[in-house]
Amino acid sequence: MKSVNTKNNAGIYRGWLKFWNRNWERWLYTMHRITGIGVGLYFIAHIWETSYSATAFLDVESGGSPIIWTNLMSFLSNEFFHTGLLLVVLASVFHALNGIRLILAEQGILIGRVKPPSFPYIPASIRGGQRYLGAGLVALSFILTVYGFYQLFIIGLGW
Amino acid sequence: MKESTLMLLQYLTGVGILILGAFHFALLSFAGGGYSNAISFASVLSVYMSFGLVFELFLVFLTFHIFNGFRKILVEIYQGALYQKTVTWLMIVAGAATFLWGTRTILIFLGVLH
Amino acid sequence: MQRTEFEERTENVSVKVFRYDSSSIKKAKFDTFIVPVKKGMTLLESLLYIKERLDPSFTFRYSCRMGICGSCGLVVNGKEKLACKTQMETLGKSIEVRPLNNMPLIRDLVVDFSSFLEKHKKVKPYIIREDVDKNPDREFKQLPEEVNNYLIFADCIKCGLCYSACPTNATDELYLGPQALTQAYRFIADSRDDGQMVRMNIVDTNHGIWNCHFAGSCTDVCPKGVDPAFAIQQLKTLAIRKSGFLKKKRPAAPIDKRREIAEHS
Repeated sequence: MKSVNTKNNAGIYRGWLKFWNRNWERWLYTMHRITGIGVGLYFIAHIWETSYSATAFLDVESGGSPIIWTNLMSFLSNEFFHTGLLLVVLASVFHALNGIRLILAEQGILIGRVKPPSFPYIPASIRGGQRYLGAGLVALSFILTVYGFYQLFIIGLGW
Repeated sequence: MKESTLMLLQYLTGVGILILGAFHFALLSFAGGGYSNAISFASVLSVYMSFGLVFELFLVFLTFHIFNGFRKILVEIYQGALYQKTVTWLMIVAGAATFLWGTRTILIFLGVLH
Repeated sequence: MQRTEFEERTENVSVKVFRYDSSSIKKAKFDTFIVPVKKGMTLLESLLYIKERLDPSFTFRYSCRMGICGSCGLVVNGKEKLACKTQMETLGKSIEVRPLNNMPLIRDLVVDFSSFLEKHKKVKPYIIREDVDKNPDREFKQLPEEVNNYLIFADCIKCGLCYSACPTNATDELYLGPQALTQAYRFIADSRDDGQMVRMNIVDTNHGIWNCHFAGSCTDVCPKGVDPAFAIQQLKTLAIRKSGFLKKKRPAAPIDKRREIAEHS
């Protein structure tokens, strides 16, 4: 016997994150949300990081010096931070491409058309073109991430 | 503001971010002569001096899109009246602060702030 | 005689059911029962077997046994289903049955639908037009194509499966939910209705259509193929374009044939 949530809400774990026994769009929904939060938090960190590095470009009297920039870049230039950047590339590319799918679906494109009901009641929206578009966009975001890997690790770190 | 107006802006800024983000990523990779070259002191200075205003636009789009997205997620978590109002105002203030802080960086690159 | 081929074979399935009683101490537990399952047996029949043979205090809701009334919605192995429409064969050897999510518990598998039905009422699920009082005995005619625009959404049986599957409802108590929003669209898409602006002001708000992020689980679990995800995306299209079904109202039929015939004869 354990105490129970009488409101019986599924909550964040079962509602937002647990997509694996659900449909494909639910998977994309969870990923869209996670990547959105991730890229959003990275953006705030990036604004802070660039504002720190921008002091390198101030006049010498105001404390500006290329050394600040070079030091920061050599601090960030390792496998740990570049793996983080690669994840940001994957997340932002996926979020952007899936966002296009969502805009199209929300404007009534690629979600099929309404049909009179007849057994076995195959729903239009989750059988429409957006389902295949979603799969294509996931594939495309992985392909672009491979290019990101090439730039960040092979050119950036000289692997 | 009506929720549909905010969402229309969310769509438009989203498309804007897709275009400007592709530009940003291109500058950091093939268009910048490879990642190592693109983040060198000289090339960063020259790129940001010529595209400062484009990056300002990118900043505006990102700030709106991200903080409106955060608001949407946060208001779905808990529904107390005070919490809902606080989330909205917190996001406006945090968005404004992020925008101003980013603008300061761009002004430094453009040479307006010395 | 080779009886074995025709004999009814049974298979023991362990059914783990959620137990809760609000009148006693507020605790919940799972009870496991072994149910002999025959070919063609539904989940509802298994639950009835438990109630009749194993534990009479076990409580659940059902009525029509044929997917019409929408009373027996449950979460089976993590997915919403109507117990009467679910064959035991499709569920495997051990199954877990929980009450529908996002609605308060009453007892065992029975949940409180009142907030769900309140939200349904909120979107004004009836024809709104000004000339109803002027023409109380006239009909508002429709073409078959106009009926097909909304007929599929009118199939909703208010079983609450979409409401339980929706990820936004999982945390957002004020969100109208897929069912209510679909009914808003069902009446907006109706060619006799003139209440688009009224309903748009209700659904185009915080905790309205824009808290739908097109996860599509509502449509995935709907036992009647109503497609709430499609309806909500259509509402978003209307909210952005601010047009669509506005100029559709046909005036009431000028003559009432039946009354004329009655008066002349």
